[in-house]
Amino acid sequence: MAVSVDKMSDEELVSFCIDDIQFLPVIIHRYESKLFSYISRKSNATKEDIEDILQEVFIKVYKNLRDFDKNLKFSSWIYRITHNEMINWYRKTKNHNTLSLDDNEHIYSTLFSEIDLYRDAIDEEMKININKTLKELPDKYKEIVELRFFEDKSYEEIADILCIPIGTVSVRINRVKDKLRNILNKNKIYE
Amino acid sequence: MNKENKNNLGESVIQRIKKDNINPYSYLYLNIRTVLFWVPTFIIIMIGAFAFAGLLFGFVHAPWEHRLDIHPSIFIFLIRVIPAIWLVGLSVFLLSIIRALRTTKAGYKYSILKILLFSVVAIITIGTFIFVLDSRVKHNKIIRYPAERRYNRILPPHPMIDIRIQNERNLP
Repeated sequence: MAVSVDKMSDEELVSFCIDDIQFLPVIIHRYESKLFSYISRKSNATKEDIEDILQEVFIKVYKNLRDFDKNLKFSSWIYRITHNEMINWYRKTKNHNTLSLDDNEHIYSTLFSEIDLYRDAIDEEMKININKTLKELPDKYKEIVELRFFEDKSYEEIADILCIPIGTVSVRINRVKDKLRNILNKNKIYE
Repeated sequence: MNKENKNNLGESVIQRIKKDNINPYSYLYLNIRTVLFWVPTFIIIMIGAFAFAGLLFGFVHAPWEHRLDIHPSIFIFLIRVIPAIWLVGLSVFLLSIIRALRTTKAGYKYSILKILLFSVVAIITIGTFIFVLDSRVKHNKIIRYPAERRYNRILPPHPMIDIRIQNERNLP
């Protein structure tokens, strides 16, 4: 088959995949690592657990290919399926969202620029404080932090993934930013 | 298709799909599923509409002529005359609609205010329709009977009123 699959959009792949399952691995390849990090950040699941969750996610994607709403971005749709699968996994294993930041400077810079704080260096104490604050957030805020700050999703995409109104997304993001500003204020970092 | 794109997870997913003979859901199945998601909303709106028709019936057919016998305050008069259970029911149905609508495919996109507005308009429109239909076609006891029972209970004992109610009841 002389088709350049790399140039195809996700939406095109979906329509081809309905008739030919051989297009499914391309979709899997595009999203596997993104979803892997998304799940690992959200949970303390082992590598095997994450692979099992991902397998379920892609099987659900395949089963529901015809249900894909073309008004949505495919990435929002697949993240929504993953999010729901994670909720199932939390219920099954009696776990909960354990937002964890790896030691990635980029993540901290993103967080800081979101609250209009620009710093050249981020010290360890600051990282500890931010990590602590984020871990203490209720689950509904953690989800927003993950999607907005780490997955770089727009407000509309977050609304589509979490199935909540866009106004709620914006309210929650502002609350998280306020919490972060307060923490930084206390530590005399934010002025 | 470029074979390089295939990976371990991809292959294991394909293997499982083939082994378990999994297929994408048909359009028919998905459409039925979508309709089923709307069923609770529809049922709640219909029950809410009946509750509203009952309230309307209670309001229109309230014994206004005996208002002062029942209570001098119009507010307390209405509270005593209009069946409160329907009012409470209506509020419960409105809250249930928010929940039911949120489960539909695009329900999450709308704010609670918009959903409430939609529900109130739907309930009032359908409820008024039921009320008009009910009074034109035949007297439906679902709406009429509880209201009448209530009037009989709250009206003060008065031979004239009793006769009047009796006469009204005997009307076709």
